[in-house]
Amino acid sequence: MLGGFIMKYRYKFNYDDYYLIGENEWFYEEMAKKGWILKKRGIFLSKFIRSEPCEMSYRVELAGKSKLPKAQIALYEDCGWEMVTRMGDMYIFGALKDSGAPEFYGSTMERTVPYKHLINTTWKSILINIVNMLIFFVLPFINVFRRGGGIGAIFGNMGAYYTVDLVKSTALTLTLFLVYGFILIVMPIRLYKAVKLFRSFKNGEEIKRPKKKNLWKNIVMNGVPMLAVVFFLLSIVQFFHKSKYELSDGNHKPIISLAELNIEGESTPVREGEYSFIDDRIVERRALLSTFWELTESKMTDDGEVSLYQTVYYVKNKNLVKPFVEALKNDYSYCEEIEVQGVDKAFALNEEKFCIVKGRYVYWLEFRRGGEFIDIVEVLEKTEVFTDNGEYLEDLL
Amino acid sequence: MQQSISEAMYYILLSLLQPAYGYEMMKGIKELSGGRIEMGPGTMYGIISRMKKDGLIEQGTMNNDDRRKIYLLTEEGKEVLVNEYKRLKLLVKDGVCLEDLL
Repeated sequence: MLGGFIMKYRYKFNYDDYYLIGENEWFYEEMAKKGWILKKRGIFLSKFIRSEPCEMSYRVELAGKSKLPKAQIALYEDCGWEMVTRMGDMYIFGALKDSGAPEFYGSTMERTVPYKHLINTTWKSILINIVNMLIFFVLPFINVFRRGGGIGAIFGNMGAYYTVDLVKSTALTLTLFLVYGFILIVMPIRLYKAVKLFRSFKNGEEIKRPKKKNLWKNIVMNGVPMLAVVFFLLSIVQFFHKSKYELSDGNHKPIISLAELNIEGESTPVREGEYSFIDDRIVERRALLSTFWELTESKMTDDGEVSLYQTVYYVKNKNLVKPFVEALKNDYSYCEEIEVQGVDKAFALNEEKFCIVKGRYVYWLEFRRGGEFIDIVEVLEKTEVFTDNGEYLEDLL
Repeated sequence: MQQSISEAMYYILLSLLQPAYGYEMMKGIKELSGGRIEMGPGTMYGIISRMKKDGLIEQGTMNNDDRRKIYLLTEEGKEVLVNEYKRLKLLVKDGVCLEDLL
């Protein structure tokens, strides 16, 4: 009761994995004793409806490969059981304890069939996920190993790659980590428990009922996947939610225009395939850990065509700036710290690629130029963004 | 020669001398066995499904309720039941000498 308001419904995390029938039956019976009758079971939560405290019996039937036949459900209902809810191949039946509704089976030996199916599918799922993880998480970094970097280098590269991803696509990266972390930990536990239960049923042992709640287990088992879903939805929203500005639209900071670099000439279209990012407008994206802007600009000067591809990151967590910059540099075997007036750190990764840090702003600049050599460092030093005190950058956000 | 059938199958076939719904069958079996055999609905549905596959029983619906199935003996089911009865009778006849031990 909340200030005189009586809650009609209540939601609780599911007590345990669906195949642990004893634990689940016990949980719903305990809730009924407290006056909460099971209404529906969802992926993470169970919904209860307020009632008088009562003694209920719940029985879980697993369908295994296919759905439970309607005739079987009707037979259970004829016997006094009511099908309360279904989630996947888990069917939950309920009856008042003194209703005389008979047990579904005379012995647990008859309950082994769905567990065989569960064990088989869990095995396959573990294998598929390990292969997936190797393909998507490890193989992309194997080239370092081939270059003689050793296993440590593979993990170093992976670390750098996912640091960049974490800053640029925080929600999606966290989703992947949560999902794969959960699978890697939970699946083997599930397999172990299912095999244990299968064996105990085969030996005709009774279904065990727990004696107390395991709150932390519930929170982890349901909270982690739930959090993954939230992050995934957020990543979709963030992917589609981007703002675009014309470069000529007044204040385009922190993006640097070629005009600011005193590179004058007629704008030319950016060639397809030249950069991964093709847009002649500034695109602003927001992630949980950063906000970043991207632009590719190209101009035909007297000395030939000059293009600048840039991404400017505002890293929200100050402590992340250093590892993020290290991660950005990771792919380049050549990296030299250079002096650029007005910035905190600057690195040249070759004559055309630069990584510049000013406060929480990290600039990734890639030049392409035809014709005469331009001293980019000298040009950058004259840029307004780097020559003022940088305070206005903070005001942008 | 026909293979013997389990006790549960025998009583299911016996309870189907009159077409019946699953729940009626369960009650029928309890009555027929004098309360000795109480079959749970899960156990019974499993056996019924196997017997249906083997062609010993068939199912139908009544009163347009396609969820509730009514079960009937097939000709093959009747034959199996009668043969089993004959076999059991023979077993009892052959073991009549055991009467003295009772």
